[in-house]
Amino acid sequence: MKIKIRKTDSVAILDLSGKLMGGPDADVFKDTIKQLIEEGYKNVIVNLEHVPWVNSTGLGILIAGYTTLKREGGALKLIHVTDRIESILMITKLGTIFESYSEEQQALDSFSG
Amino acid sequence: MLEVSIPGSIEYLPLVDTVCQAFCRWAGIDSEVADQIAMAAVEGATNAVVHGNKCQRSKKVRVLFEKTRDRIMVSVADEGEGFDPDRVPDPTEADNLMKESGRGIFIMKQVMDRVEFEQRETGGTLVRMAKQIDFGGGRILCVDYGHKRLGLALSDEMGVTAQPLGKIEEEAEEDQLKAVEKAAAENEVSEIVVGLPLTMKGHVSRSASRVIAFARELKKRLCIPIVTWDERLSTRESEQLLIEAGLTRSKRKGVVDSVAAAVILQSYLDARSKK
Repeated sequence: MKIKIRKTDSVAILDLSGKLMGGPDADVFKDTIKQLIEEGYKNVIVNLEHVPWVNSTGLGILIAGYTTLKREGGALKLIHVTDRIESILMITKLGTIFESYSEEQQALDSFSG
Repeated sequence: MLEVSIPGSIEYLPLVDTVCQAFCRWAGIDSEVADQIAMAAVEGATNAVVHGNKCQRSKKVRVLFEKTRDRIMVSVADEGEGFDPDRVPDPTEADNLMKESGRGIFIMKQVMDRVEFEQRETGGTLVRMAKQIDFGGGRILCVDYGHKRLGLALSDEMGVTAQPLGKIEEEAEEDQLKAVEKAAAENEVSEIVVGLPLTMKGHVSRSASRVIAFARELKKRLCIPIVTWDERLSTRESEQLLIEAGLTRSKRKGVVDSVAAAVILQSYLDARSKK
């Protein structure tokens, strides 16, 4: 998995690409979130457009990011969730936890609202 | 049947996904269902690598994919110390929802129709998963086993009618098995029925135990279901059919094996359609 970081004034957008499946990915993702918090970014959008699948460990990574940001008073939201990931979120009932949007702009607006 | 063996390291997990997807594509399964099966296979392999083999590279995880007439089976074996699947809590309960781990088995059970765990005597855990798939029938081959001759019959694609196919005249078991294997491959059969000569009281006769051994041998060679079917009366019934058809005794002898196989197969098909 690779992470590309884009930033607006108050929101960081993480463009993930590749399969999200734990192991080294977990550390990379956690470090990225930690770094963003240090820089003052507490609101993060995770773009899953180029993530073909997430396994249970990958879900754990997203949850860790979500919990960390929430503790800081921020939020982690998802965009471009593919059908396959949507179904795993539904099965695990995590669809009720993660806010997700089909467009990046909608997600950005949701933070300023 | 397809088997992959990966070292106990998570970087190989995507390979299980790739292989599973390829296997499902080969089996003609649509992509949505293939995704589910792959999801379960990867979760099984993840558990095997992380919890079973404790991420020790030297310990292998074997994943076996099988296609039968009506299901896809995925088995995952590790070389770890085993675990108790019943002690894994429900990850969708409110208290567990935000936990970072513990979803693997739950996902497997959600997307597959059957998930079983077995602690192997040789060490390690074996997880067997199955998903029912409607492959839309396929031909069934029937074998009427005889010591010197084997009668063969074949069903139509829909599994409704049985037709005599011919006979195998081999005495050595190895040759008989090879001939049945060849007939199964040539006709792309999805299942084999072997006529079982029970005694009139329903006991297993001596010839029946030979048939059972033959069916077991077939099972080892082919990855399609091999079933045995009570053939009582069918040989006499088929002889009767031929007498009615006006064949002489000598001609009858030549075709009776395959006709007997057809009669056995027809009774199997009829019983199956009543289910």
